Amino acid sequence: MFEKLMNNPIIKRYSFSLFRRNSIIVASIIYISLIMLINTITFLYFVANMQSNTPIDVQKLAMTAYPWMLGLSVILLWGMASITPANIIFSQITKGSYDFFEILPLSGRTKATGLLIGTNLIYYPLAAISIILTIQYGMLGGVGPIQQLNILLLFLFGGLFCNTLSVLLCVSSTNLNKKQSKIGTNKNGSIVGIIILALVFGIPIIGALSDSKQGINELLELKWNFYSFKISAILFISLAALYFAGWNFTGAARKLQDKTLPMFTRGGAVKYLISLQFILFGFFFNYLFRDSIEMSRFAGAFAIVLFFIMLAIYLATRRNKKRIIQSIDRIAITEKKPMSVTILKIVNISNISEALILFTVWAIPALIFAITSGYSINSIIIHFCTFAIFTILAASCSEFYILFKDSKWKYHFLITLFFFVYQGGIFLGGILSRSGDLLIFSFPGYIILMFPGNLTEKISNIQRIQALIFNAFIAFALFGCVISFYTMLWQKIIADFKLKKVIDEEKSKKKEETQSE
Amino acid sequence: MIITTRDLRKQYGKLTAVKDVNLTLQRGEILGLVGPNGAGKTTLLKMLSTLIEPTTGSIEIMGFNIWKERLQVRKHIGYLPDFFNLYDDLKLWELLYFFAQTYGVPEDERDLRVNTALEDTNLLIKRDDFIKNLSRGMTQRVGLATLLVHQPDIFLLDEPASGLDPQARITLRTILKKLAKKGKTLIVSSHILTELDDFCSHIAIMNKGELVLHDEVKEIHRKLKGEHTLKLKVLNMFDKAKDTLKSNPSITSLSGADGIFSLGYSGDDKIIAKINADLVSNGIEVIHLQREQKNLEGLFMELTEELNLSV
Repeated sequence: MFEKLMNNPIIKRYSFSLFRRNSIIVASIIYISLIMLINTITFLYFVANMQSNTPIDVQKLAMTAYPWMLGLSVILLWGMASITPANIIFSQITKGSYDFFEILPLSGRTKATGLLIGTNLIYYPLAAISIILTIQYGMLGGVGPIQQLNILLLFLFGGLFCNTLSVLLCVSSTNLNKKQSKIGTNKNGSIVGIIILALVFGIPIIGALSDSKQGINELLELKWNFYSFKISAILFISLAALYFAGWNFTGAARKLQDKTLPMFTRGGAVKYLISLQFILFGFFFNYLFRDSIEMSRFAGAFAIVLFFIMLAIYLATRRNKKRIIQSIDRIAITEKKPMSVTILKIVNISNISEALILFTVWAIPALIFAITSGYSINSIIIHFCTFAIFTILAASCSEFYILFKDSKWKYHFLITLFFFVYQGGIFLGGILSRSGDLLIFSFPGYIILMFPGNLTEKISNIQRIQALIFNAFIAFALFGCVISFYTMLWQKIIADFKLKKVIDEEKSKKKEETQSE
Repeated sequence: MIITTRDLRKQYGKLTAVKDVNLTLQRGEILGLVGPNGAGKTTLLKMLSTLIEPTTGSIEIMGFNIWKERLQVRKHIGYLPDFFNLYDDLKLWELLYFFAQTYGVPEDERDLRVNTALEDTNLLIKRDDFIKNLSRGMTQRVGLATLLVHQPDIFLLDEPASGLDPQARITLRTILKKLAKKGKTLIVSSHILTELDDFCSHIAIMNKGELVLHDEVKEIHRKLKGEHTLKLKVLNMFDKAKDTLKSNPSITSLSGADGIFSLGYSGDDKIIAKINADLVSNGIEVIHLQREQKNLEGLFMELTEELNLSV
């Protein structure tokens, strides 16, 4: 394993640049100074709060320093080790050396591993030293080995999650070859994202630990309901972080293998959504079958959040036009009757099929939630039909966007504009005029009207059905346009393919004739 | 065939950067890719190097489909972009060692390969220098050394001579010739045709994304030998002058406007006398007549100019 890592050219390359005598000396001085500073401050703080003439309680002293040391380890592993690969990737892009990196004949996994470990050759050892010192302090302070192990797992897997997420966000940037990147996927976006994650996950834990030993015990004894089991919250977070770190890494490796590939494979997206739902569903399993209004509101909100996660996963799974054409090409070569185009074939070849599969995966637990939360059958049918129609609408618009992205920029622009005006415009109109009748026609408005409020009370199921029919009309019209466009594209590709075949055959015939002459 | 492209096209919105390019190259060929700025040379090279995906069309390199077997293709190609920055936190030998390791050079050969590449590019003396301390010309040579260290079968060089001093240009030519002798295939892009004329086996001229000419250098020269160019300037009746010239069967090509024409013809000096007589007899005042032997540059100008005029 170690030998394999050392044979990774990217790790070797960073070992050259990072392990220079001066860099090591500077890093060591800064690190030792930090450790000394933490220890001095905690010692002085401890002594200042100590009653005079009492001997120093080593256990208490160690526990005063413990959260600080853990904080330093988190900053190094979760923060610095996440920011560094992002910084390096973006500096390569701005300096113009990313082209070299991109065409290296290395697999995506090798590149991802190289980036992750290679760029952190300084921070990983420092984080390791810090955590060893933290464990030492913990031992002196009387923290038990099981508790230490739990904290260690959380520290390692949480760090791995942040680090892999940082690499994934950077390599998924759509404008990697340009000097400027889009908001959310650029360097600052990644760094901000990582910092937010570190704050969200790190601070509460460190905060709990700062209450000394009691805090640690409380945190470690915290149990969550997961289906019918009770599991340690810390252990659960650690394992979930490891699981999602694995997905982050796989996504990054795919992007590094071929930047035009989507982040997920079709199967991968389904697995990801199922596993995510399985985990989240597990937490709320015990709250199901309780007929209360709060529960129905909560279930609705939970299902909506999952719906948007499902849409995000779909966006990360879409194949571009080139890949779709390749699939049609394959059909032209392998099928006996390639010209017979059916809607089913087109839906299968397009990204719409993926949207429908993901919708189904989302709908099953959402349906269980809705039934067990006391929603009426009529409401459930209307809600699910509305969500399904919006999925078809969004998938059709997205398909147009993909098909016209490279060639017909006007269409591509128009379809984006249409989507936002149609959904956003109606929504804004409804909000400004405080009209539920208008709001119900947009999907965001519909979601607002799912929850209790002044406007919701005025909306009847008949109005919801009217909006549903109107939206279904537009969604299916767009869907029909996508199908027609695909049919034309399909027939053109197959015709071109046949023509090429005839030309090639004629050419080879002529060649044979001239050779025989 | 070591490289085959079929109907290769790259579209950026409304702009067609590369338009239906069909190109074939055999082992040991040096193809000089010429064209004005924005002709599509860099885009074509980037597509060949797997950096950007074509909108339509296909590329095969050494029998591998460039997109399906990208990793295999990358092992066989060495690409030097027109504008690049190397890892400036590394020393020269470290950078070359990294490339040698990445491209699978056996460990016991790496040091030798690094030193040979440095020697070939006259950079051995700078072996322990940091990349960031090298001049622009030297960096360009380092770029070439990163390819030499792993000796790919195909070299894709985008403007490799830019930033090089005259001596370094001569060294570059020598290296490229040596590589071709070893059976390596090279595509060298430049917008200066004379730079490529003496060491390329083939020339391809691109303009506005199209491949307007692709032939052996010898063949182009043979064709050009029998052709001459005549520069002509008239004072009045520009359209009539153009019509008169067009009606002359000895004139093979005609370009220009506003009374200044450049025309290709085959034959002896009597043709010039006839052209002059025809124009004068039609009442057109000829103020300048100059015969020129057509060369590659002339052909390039003619081809790119014709296309620009028609556009």
